[in-house]
Amino acid sequence: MTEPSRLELYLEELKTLVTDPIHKRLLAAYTGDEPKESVELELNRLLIEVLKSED
Amino acid sequence: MKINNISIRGFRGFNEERVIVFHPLLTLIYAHNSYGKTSITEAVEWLLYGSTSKVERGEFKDEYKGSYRNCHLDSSVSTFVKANFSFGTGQVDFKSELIGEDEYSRHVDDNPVECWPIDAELAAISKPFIMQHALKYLLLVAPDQRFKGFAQLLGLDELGTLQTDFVSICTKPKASIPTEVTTFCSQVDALEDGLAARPALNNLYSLFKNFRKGKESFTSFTTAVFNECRNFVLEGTPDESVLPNLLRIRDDYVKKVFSGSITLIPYSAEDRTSNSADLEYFVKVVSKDLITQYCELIAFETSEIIIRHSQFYDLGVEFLTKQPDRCPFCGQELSDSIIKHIDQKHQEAKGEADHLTALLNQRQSVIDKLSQLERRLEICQQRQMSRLTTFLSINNNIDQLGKILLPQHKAYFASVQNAITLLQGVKNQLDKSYVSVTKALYAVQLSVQQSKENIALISQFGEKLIEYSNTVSTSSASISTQESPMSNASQILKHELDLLAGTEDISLLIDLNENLKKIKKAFQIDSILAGLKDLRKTVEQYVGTKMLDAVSNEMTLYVMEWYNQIRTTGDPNVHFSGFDMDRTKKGEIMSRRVQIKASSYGKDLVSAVSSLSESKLNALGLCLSIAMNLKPSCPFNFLFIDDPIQSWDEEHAEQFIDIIRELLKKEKQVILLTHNKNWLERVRTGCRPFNGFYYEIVSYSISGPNIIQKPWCSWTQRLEEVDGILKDETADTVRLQQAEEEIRLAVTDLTSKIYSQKKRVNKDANKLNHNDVRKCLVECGLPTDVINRIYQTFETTDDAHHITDYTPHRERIRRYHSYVHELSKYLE
Repeated sequence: MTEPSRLELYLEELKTLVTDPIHKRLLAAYTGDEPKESVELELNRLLIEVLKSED
Repeated sequence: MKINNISIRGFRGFNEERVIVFHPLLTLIYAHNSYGKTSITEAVEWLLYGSTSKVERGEFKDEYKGSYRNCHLDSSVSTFVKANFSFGTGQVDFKSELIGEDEYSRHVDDNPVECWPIDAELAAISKPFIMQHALKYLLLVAPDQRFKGFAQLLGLDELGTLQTDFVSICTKPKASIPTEVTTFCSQVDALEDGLAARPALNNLYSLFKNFRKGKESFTSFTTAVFNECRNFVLEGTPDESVLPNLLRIRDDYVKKVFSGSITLIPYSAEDRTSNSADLEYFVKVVSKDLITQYCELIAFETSEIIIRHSQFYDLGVEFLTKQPDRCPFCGQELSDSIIKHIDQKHQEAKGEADHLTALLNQRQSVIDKLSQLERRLEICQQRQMSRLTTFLSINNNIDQLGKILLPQHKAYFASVQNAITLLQGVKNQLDKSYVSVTKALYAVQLSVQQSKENIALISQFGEKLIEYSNTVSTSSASISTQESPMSNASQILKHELDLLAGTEDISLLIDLNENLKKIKKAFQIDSILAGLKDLRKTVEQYVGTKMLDAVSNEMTLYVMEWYNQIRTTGDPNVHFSGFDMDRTKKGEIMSRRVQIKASSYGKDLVSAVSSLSESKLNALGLCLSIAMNLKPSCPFNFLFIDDPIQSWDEEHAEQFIDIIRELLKKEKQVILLTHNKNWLERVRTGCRPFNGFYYEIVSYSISGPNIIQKPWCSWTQRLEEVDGILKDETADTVRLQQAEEEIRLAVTDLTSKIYSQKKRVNKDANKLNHNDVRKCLVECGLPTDVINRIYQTFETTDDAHHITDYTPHRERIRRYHSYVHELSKYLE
């Protein structure tokens, strides 16, 4: 198992500081070669989920 | 990682290739201004990083375009920088060749590579260069840039990027909001605007706003909407009838004004799927099974005869089972060959009859398929026509519509007229194509029923079906293009009709009722977007705290250690006092604002940037760079220092020589470049025991700088140094080992000089080994006993200055010292 990177450690710490599950999801999305775009995509997905939700 | 040598061709001030060998500890380079000093530092920077900080920080990038290549370099050759680095015990060549204006190709030990094997380390730490133009850079830049630079220096740049990214996302989330969400929310905004404009519904508007702010529950808002609706229907109306009644009331009022409507029903997702499936099915029908099966039925024409023939044989064979030797029809006796013949014929007829039965089944299948096709055509046609017919009914009321919409909504009215023209044409085309295909289908169906199959009929049907498929495809596309403009026109008409009929309040209540779920979702979206501010704050505080911890502890300590060394006793007491982070009035950390503190006689000043003198800011910048380069995590064991003392007074410049010595003691390889010869002489004297390399760029021409290596010191100075060490009874092992080195260097220096005098040929003293020394002295005709003594002296001292567990030999040094004096007598 590889050691978590410095960035992963920062994000883990940050996740413990937020309570809103949406914020946790956005922080978790900060990965890959283009992390900013990845978070934007996750936010996009979140909003569409609300739009399409049954209730 | 140390740098052993560098080879530069065609880069910046360098034209023809020049090689500079660096001393493992100290290399001094002197040159007048504009002789190419900085090009050396920049060459190493470009080699390692692919760009130089001068170009990176240049405000107008265009002015730096193509500036890496020397303009006099022969066009047939390329610009390159090559350096040899030591990593532990191994050595590696890095070479970078310029391609075009700012691209490059890289090689490690002549093997092409995409990136340097140490790229990750390079990115994580500050560059090993201290350049005059960059000294104050981090101190004087805008706070945001300073934060970025400090984050990089501290290896926290990922944290800086993380913060920038989240601030950007949370502050401007619009880029992440899909269009359908924006459209959705704007529809709810329109409802709010509608409520704001209706004084009679003012209470509801307040509730709406409170609900949006999260101050009211969804239930209380829906209850309020429903209660408001009740005001418009008869008392005692059951709950479930309130909305239908409201709709009826509005319709009744509106119909008095206008009985038409602009209704172009949009294709649902299901409709679009059905359209696609139908078109796919039609194409499949034409190209595959049905036509093949239909064509096979043509053989069916002779079926009647075959069937009767078979029945005839069945009957005859049945009678024959009772009287096998008599003809069942005339009673005549049958021979064996005739009986055999009848059996054979019966089998053949039976086979044909079986085949015919299969064809009969196939015919039924074709009939079924044609019926199915007929039904699908009908449904498909209905799907398109229902929309068109409903919409085109507005044509009956077009004059009245004009009176309502014109002149205020001229554009909307024109769009309706255009849509009528377009969609009427679509409808006619669909009608025509449908009639044509159904007619062809009927002819095919009839031919099967009558067993009069005909290839021409099925071919014609195929063509018509393809034609119809194409018409449906273009028609649905045309209808789709009109959906949005007609929906807009319909909204405008609705608004105008409500105005004319006085049903604005009722209409708005109906809309609210029908869109309650939509409103709830829109507010959920609002709440998510508003919550991003909290996320931003959390990220900012987190990054700010991390940064504060790094700058106020680790960084301040490192920098202060060096800053204290550069301070002079006579300095006015206005000094750098550490790093901090700016804070808001509430005491919260401002994450992107690194503060540089200063104090005077114990009192805090506003900021170092505004309080420190130019020279002290330079000194601080220098200390910052040194501190970062001495961090244990720094992979570089070398440091280029380019003209550091420009704005300093004598005393500070002198202090800096101590700092250089300190760096050398810490095994840091220093390459110091300056235009100040006097100061460099003092550095050379101050760092005399380190026996570094000394270069002078003595001239500059079109072919580039003329770099000459000069002796670190004279042989007489070296022998004086040895003498001093020998007289010093307290001289330790390190000093005595240095004495051996001084003797070795004096020998090479003297040998080179004697050879030059006697033979008129220059020999590079730095490159002479013990065999070279002996050979030179033999050629110069020195006595053998002298040569032997010098050979022994060189060989022994050469070994002595390399070994790590050196044992001092004072007597030997004394003896060698006298041998070298003896050698010096042969110098004319």
